[in-house]
Amino acid sequence: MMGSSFIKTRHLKTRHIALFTAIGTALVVAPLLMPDNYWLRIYGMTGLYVMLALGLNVVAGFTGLLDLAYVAFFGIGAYLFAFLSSNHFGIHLPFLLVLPISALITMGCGFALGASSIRLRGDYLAIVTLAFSQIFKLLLLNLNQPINITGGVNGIYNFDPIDIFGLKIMSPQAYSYLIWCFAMLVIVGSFRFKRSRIGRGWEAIREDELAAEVIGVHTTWMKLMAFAGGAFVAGASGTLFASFQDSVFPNNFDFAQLVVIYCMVILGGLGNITGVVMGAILLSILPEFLREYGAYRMISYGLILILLMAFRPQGILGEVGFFTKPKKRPEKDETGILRASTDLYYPEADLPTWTEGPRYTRGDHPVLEVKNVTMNFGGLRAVNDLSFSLHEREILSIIGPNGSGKTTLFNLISGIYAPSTGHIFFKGKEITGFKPHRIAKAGIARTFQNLRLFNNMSVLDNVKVGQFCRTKSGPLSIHLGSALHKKEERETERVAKEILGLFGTRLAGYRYDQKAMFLSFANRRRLEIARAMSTHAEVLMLDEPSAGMNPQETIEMTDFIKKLRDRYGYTILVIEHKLGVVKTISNRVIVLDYGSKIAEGSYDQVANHKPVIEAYLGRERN
Amino acid sequence: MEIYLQQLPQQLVNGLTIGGVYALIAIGYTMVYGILSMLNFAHGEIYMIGGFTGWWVLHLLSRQNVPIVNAALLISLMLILSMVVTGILGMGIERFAYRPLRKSPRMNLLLSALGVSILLQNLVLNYQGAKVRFFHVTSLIPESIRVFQVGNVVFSFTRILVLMVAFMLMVLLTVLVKRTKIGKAMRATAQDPEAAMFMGIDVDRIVVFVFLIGSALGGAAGTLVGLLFTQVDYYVGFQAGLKGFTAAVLGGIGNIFGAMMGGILLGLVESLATTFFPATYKDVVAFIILIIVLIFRPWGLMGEKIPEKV
Amino acid sequence: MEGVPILELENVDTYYGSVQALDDINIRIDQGELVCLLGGNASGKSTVLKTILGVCRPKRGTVKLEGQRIDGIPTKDIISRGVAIVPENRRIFPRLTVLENLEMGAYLRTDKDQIKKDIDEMLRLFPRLTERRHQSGITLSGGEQQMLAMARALVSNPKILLMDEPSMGLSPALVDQQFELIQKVHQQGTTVFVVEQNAQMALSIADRAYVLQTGSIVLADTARNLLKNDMMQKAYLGEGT
Repeated sequence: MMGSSFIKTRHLKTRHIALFTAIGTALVVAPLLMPDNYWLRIYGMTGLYVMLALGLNVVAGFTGLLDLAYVAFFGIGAYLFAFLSSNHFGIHLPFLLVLPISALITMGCGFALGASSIRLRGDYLAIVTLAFSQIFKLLLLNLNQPINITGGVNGIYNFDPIDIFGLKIMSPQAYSYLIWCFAMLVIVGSFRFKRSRIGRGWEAIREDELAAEVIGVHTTWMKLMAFAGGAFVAGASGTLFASFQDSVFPNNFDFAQLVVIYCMVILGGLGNITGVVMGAILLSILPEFLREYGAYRMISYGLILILLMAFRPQGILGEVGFFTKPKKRPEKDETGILRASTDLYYPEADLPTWTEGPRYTRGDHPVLEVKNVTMNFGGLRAVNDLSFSLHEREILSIIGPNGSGKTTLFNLISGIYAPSTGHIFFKGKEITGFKPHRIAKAGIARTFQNLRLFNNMSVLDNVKVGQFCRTKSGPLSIHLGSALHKKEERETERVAKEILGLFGTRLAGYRYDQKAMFLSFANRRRLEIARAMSTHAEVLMLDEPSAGMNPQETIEMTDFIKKLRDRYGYTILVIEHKLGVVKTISNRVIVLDYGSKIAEGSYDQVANHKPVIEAYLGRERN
Repeated sequence: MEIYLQQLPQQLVNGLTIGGVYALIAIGYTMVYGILSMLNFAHGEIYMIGGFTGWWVLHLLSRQNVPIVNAALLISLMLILSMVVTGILGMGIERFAYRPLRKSPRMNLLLSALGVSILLQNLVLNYQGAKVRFFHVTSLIPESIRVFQVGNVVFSFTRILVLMVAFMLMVLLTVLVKRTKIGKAMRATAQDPEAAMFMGIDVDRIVVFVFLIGSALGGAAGTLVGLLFTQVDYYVGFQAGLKGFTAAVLGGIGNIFGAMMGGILLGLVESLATTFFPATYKDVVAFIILIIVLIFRPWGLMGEKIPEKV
Repeated sequence: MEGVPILELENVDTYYGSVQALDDINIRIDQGELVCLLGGNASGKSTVLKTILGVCRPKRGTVKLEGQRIDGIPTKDIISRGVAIVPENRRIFPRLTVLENLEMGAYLRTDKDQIKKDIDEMLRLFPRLTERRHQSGITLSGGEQQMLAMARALVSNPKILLMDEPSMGLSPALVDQQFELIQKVHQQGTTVFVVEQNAQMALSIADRAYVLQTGSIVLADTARNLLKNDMMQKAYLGEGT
């Protein structure tokens, strides 16, 4: 009895056990199977490439940052070993000390370079990192005069032999075991990070950085961590490499090497860990079999990049992986009758019910106060001296013709812009000028007029990202699989499923793992709301929640929004154009025109107010 | 100090000359960026292929390193042919590597551009090896005018030639962009592609035209540098590309006149720097400028700050 | 009105993916008319224009220019057949001069001398633009930009002039000016189709108008009748009023 529940809580399945055993055996046996030292070296290098590719996968795959300086981190780790464990400077530190030191120093360099990514996007980041890698190579080649630091083009060689707690690592075989041990650590770490708040945060940044920031992800810090994480792995790999090759040369860390690693990651699919590992193995081994075509290696890499991007940007493996859950699409339920997937319903009782949400009794104190806020964009005044208050458990609708400043107002409250003048208070504390992730953490969440979902992430992951600002597992905690991390993951999953359960069965069951981009339009609107709720917000700002929905879906959404207030105690700010919806849900309505408030009151008061009618229909012509 | 002042006019001329070349390369980057908002990574390799084309023409029309046709004709042919070849190459790259990705995420486009760059570089490497090819310029220009002196400044004929050609091309481009219908259509498309479409402008064709002109100028730059420094090899594109890009960003990416200014400015700064620092670190100057500009003033000297609309 | 209508939409349905944006749209504009398409936010007005211009393709129905079908052909071909548009927010080319903007308006024309004459004519029609003909677009005032956008569209001698929400982004004073401008142009004989949210303004200068609500035409009448029609308010502000 105890045994079975033990296994159940540990999510061990026979499939996994079989896989682990197979891999373990392979790792133990493989070095013995290699025909000669030459192949042992290839085997060892493959392990290093796996590590390098997975490290790059963190920066470029998960987070979507085109870091072209990555190979320089590999070089820094390698040269550090050369400095700290040889006759070059006469420093002879033991390997077990050099490895962490070098990885940490390289990580520091990663942080420094990452700082440049804070303000730069896409192309620019690529160029700056490329420039850094050029500078690095130049330094390697030239810092051999007047003092010989780097050994110039001849590099540095003859390093100290290494040992792990007395066990000497000298033969290629021994190195193979050592390298692949570390490779396994990196593989396991990668999977752990992918299924953690940090991995999800990174992927959210890749998908839509602004939405990630608004939903609570501290994007600046996370980008720095991505650079640092990749650099850490590259640095460690570099140290192992230097020892393995017993030498370091500038040529080991040049642009061609970077291209190889990029191809490995792209071949496998950005962010797809299994794919990247296989890509690394493939591109380490394949050139050996195609040695007669060696001259065409780099040409092939160029072609691989071009063709993959044009025809299969998700990588050769695409979505297939060993540790991803098989996506069940049950066409038949227990009665054995075939059903269309759209009307396959699990009995509602089976869905987890969600009981959280802010618990306020209805009160009159203002939860959100906007005071004399003005927003100027150059010469254009989008919001003009706007003031209003939002009270607990109230639904306040903001209406007005196109261009009247409604979305700008939302952007101001959620911190995307800082107001030119004026102040915003939340629960009595000033939040004017706060960055969006702090506002999310304070308790205000929003949806977007044009939908900003994390398209390549699953429905469940989209909602889980919302809880980034409510959880705190750090990298160490995640890598070691600590109790804190496991508990937070369970909680995150539970809350996410419960919130999704509020939408009935539409976003449940097999939908959990479906990528957001495959959902119907109405479901995507619902998902965005679920994601916002997942931040444990007290105030929700919904920007045109029913836009694009047919009448039936609109009625459902209207009821849902009322339920959010009545049953779950939310305070809600809504921008809506469908005035029927506005009438049904609103406690109060504010009308904007040209950025100014022209009316405030109940819907009936406002809808028959002459200035409001004129704002929509136009003033009578003189 | 005396020495530095003495060297100044010389360095100025050097700076202007190489600056003119950088400007030509920068224009290619900036035109493509202005119209597609993408960095054409492969532009450096286009420049390199331009240089090789120039060399090839020179080699073809010479026996034992002595030209068999009139020098002026030969140089003109070198320039024209390198511009034609690179122009066509640029159009091909746009058509097959970039156009299919117009609606894809930016990263895909960048990676494809990277792939094109690697492909081109290694195709040349494979085809003709890592050998450096030499432009036997000395036989092109008669001894009497090869070098001349004005005051205490020494000019080499080649240098003046390169300077003049570079500036002439820039003038021609300016005329094209400011006075011709298609030049104006180009500017209109860069400023507002949708409004341009509403005028009936065929945006796709304009894009092709931009690649044609930008690449041709890059190709011309390749030949000019070949004449200036008398050599070309498969690797020159990489360095030149980064410098051209630096110049484009310095002037304000997307702004053609900015690119010209940025190029000349970069050339001058680099030239002046060599009076104070050892030559091997000359290249670092460009990188440092690049990093400073991108971090503190990414819209360059003549560009405009564009806020992101949400 | 006699003869073939300049522009005709018949039974048009337009979809964005699987979401239906327009349902059975029937619009007819005859030579010399000023017709408006009115509606509130998300009514589908811009989709109608996109369908006419070929940016969207109708799933059902036809769009005809002077009797010739134009649905399904590329935008630039539609424009070359005589359709000109003043886009939403006017979209003049900010760093081209007034003259250059006008030259772009005449881009598809090949009769150089006549183009020059027509541009001069435009400048005469809008004297303030003449003074500024060598200034770049972005230096012009709001009112001058309106004029430039209008002149730029007219210089192609279009069969029909489309206007996309001309009051958008303008202060109330400029809105008056804008509609006076449209009226002036119409009085010169141009056929105009105005898509607009500001019903009062539009109806004060239009011959006829259609009212769109969530993708369907709910009212179609002469402007005079619509001004008196109570249903207008309902169509805009919904059931509650």
